[in-house]
Amino acid sequence: MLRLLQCEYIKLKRSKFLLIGILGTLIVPLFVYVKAIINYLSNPEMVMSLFSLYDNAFMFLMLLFAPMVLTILYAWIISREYTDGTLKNIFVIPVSQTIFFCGKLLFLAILTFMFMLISWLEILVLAFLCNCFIPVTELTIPSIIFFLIKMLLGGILLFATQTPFIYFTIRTRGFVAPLIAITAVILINVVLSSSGVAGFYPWSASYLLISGHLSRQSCPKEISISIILIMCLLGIIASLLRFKKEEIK
Amino acid sequence: MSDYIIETKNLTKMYGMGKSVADLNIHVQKGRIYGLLGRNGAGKTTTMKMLLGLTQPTTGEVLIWEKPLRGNERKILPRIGSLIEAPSFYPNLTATENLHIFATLRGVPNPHAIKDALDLVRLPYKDKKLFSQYSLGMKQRLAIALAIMHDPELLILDEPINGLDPIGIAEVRSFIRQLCDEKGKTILISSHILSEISLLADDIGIIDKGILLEEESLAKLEQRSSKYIHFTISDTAQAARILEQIFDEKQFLIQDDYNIRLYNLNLSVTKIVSVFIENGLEVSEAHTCGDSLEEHFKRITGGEGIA
Amino acid sequence: MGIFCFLFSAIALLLVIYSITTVCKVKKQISEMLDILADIKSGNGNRRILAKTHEIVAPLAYEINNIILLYENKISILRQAEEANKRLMTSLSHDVRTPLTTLIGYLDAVHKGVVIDKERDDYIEIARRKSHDLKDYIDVLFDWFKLNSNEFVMKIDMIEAAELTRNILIDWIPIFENRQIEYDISIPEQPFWARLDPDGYMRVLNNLIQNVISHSHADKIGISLCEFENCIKVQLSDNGIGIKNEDLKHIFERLYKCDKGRSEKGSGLGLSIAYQLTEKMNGKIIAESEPTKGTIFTLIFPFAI
Repeated sequence: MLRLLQCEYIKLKRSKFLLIGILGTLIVPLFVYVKAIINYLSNPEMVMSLFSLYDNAFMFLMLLFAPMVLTILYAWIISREYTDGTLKNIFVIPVSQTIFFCGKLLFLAILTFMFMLISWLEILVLAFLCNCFIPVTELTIPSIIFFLIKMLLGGILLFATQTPFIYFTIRTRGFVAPLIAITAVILINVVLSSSGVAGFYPWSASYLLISGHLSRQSCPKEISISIILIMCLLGIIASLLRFKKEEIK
Repeated sequence: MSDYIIETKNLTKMYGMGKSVADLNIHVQKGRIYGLLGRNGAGKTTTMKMLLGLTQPTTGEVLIWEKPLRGNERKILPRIGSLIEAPSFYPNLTATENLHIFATLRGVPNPHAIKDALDLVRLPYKDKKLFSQYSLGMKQRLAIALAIMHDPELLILDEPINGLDPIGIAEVRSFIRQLCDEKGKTILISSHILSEISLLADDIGIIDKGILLEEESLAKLEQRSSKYIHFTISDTAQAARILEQIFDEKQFLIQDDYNIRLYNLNLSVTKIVSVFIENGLEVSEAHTCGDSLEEHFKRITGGEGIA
Repeated sequence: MGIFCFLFSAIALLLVIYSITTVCKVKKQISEMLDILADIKSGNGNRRILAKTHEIVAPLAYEINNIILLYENKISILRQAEEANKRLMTSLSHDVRTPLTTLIGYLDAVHKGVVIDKERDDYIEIARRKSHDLKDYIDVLFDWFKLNSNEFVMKIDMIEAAELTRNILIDWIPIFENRQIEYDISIPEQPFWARLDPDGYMRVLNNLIQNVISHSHADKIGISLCEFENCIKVQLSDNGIGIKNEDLKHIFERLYKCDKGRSEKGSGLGLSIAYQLTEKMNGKIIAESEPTKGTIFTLIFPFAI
C-alpha cells in the first residue's frame, strides 16, 4: 500500500492539475479576508474575529470551492489512468483492482487533508498578518487547534461526499460527467443552503455540520451524518464493483 | 504432460453479439517464438489480452505453465513481460520515472534493472525528456523496455515493431531472436505483416475473423512452400540414376531410401513417373510443391491475403 | 509523567507490531523464493526472483539471480553449439547420401544386368568418377571439420606471394584450356613478401578458382596480383552468371548453396573453407557480383614487415 502511495506521488510530478488545485484553495481564504476587510472599513465598530473568518471560509470552501476543485483533481487522477492507457501496464504486474482502487482512494483522502491543512494554515497566517493592522479577536491557541480539528473533520466530510463523482469518473472513464454533476450539485447547494431541508442534502449538510449551523435546521445531526455516510459507502462500493469489472478494451 | 507454455482451450470472446475470438486453441512451445498472424481486427489483440487476464474470456480457458490463469494471476503474471497495443505511460514523467513506478510495484531481478532495460532498447537512462515529448518510435522502445525489465520467461508482444523506423525494426527483430536463441525465452508476438513473422517466428498461427485457421511450424510451412517435385518411390538409387541418365538432371536431393526431391520444375511429372514405372520402380507419390508463403496464406485466409 | 508512560508504551506497541508484520512478510517472501528455487532446480533457468529495491530480502534475491544468470549464459553457449552441430549433421547426411545413393544406382543397374556391353562400361566409369568425387567431398569435409575444431595447424612463414601464385596457376592453365576458358593472368615480376601459410594460401586460391569453374559458367577468367594500401591484393574475376544479391551475403557460410540440388559436384564448403583460412592468415576476402555480368573475389593480405 505504501508503495502504491509512493507511486501515486511520483505520478503527480510536474502536473499542472495539482498546482491549479493548490492555487484554487489559496484563493478562498484571500477572498474571505478581502470581504472581511471591506466589511471592517465600511463598518469599523464590527469586530473581526477568528471565528467569523473561519466561518466564512467554511462556507465558501465546503459549499462552493472545495467540491469543485476536489472533483476536478479526483477525476483527473482517476481518469488519466484510462486516457493514458496505463491500467493495462498495472494490471499485468499484477496489482489487483481492489488494492489499486484502495490505494487511489487513500491517496485522494490524503490530498484532501493536505488541501484543508493548507487552507487552515493560510487563514491563520493571514490572521496574524491582519492582526498587525486590524485587531483580530479569539486568536488563541485553543481556538486555533479547535479550527484545525474542524478543518480536518471538514476534510473527512468533503472526501465522503465526493465518492459518487469517483463512480461517475470510473463509469465514463473521463472527467466531463463528474464535472457536470458537481456543477449541478453546487448550484443546488446555493439554492438550498438557506432553506430548511439543507440538512438532508449531503453536500450542504456537510457544511452545516462543520459550521455548527445545523442546529438552526429542523434536521437532526444523526440523520445528516447517516445520510452522508450511506452515500459515501454506496459511492465507494459502486465504484469498486465497477472498477473490478474493468476490462481493457 | 504437454510442453506448452501457453495453451488455450476453446477460447472465445463475445463483444455484444459478434464473436471477436472463436474457439481458439493455440499452443506456444517452450523456447520458441510463436507468431500470431492476422489482419487488423482479426482478434490478435483480444487474444493476447485474454492471455494476460486483461479481459475475461466469455468461454474457454487459458493455461499458462500448465496452470489456469484465472486464480493464479499473482503467480503467473510476474513471469510474463507484455506489450499490448499502443505504448502507454504517464506523459508528465520521464522514461526512467515511468519505469521506476512499475519497478516499484512489481520488483526487479537486480538493482540496475531499469538502466539495463533502457540500455537494451537504446534509450538514455535518467534523461530529462518527458514521455510526452517522445517520438512514436521511442515510445515503442520504452514499452519494450518495460516488457523486458524484470527479465521474464515469457514475452507477449502485440505488434512490437509498430512505429519503428527500418533500422529500429531490424534491431528489435534481432533482439527478439537473440532473447529466444541465447536466453531461451518463450515469445508470443503478433503482426499483420507476413514477411515480419516469417523472418522471426518458429511457429505460426494464422488467425482470421477470430478463428485460428492454421497452426504450424515455419520450417514445415517453408518446406511446403519451396518449389520442388516430391517423389516417394521404391528405390531412390535407381531413380537417381534414371534422372541423371535419361533426363540429364542433377538438381535433386535424396532424403532417405524412399523420398527424393527434384528442384527443376520444368520437367513433366507425368513423364518422369512413366519412365520410373517403365524401369520397374513403384511410385507411390508424386506431387509438385509450388506455393509461395504468400500464396499459401492467401489460399487459407480465403483469397484476400495478408499484407 | 503519565503522558510519557503512555507515549512510551504506544511506541513500543507500534514497534512490536511493525516487527511482527516484517517477520511475516519476510517469511512469506522466503517461502516464495523457495518455490522459485525449486522451479529453477528442476531446470527452468529463466526464472527470476523479483524483489523491490528496499526490501530486506532484495540483496539475497539479486545475488541469486546473478548466479543463475551466470550459469544460464554458459549453458546457453553450449546449447547453441549443440544446436548448430545437430543442424550440420542433418545437412551433411543429406549431402553425403545424395551422391552415394546415385552411385549405388549405377552399380545396382550394372549388377542386375539392366545395361550391357558399352553402356555397362560407361556406367562403371560414371560410378568410378562419382566415388572419386565423393572421396574429394569427404576430404573437404574433413578439412572443414579440422578448421572448425581449431585442429588445423598453420605454418605461417615469410612467403613470396607472386612466385607462389604463379606456381599455383601453372597447374590450372591446362584445365582452363581444356574447358575453353580464356584466362588473363597479370602478376608483376617484383617480389611480394607476406606472412602466409603456403598450403593454406594454395587452398584458398584453388577453392576460389574451382568455384568459378564449377558454378559460374564463365568463359573468361582474370587473375591479378598487385599492391593495394600496403597490402597484397589478389583479384579473381569472371564473366559468369554472377551471384544474386541476397545470396551474396551468405556465400561464405557453411553449406550455403545458391541452388538447392545437391547431386552436382560441389560441397558448399569450398568458399567457407577459403573464408576461414583467409581469416586465420589475417587476410580478408570480399565478394562482389552483378548477376549475369560476373563476380569478383578479392583477397587482401597485409605485407610482411
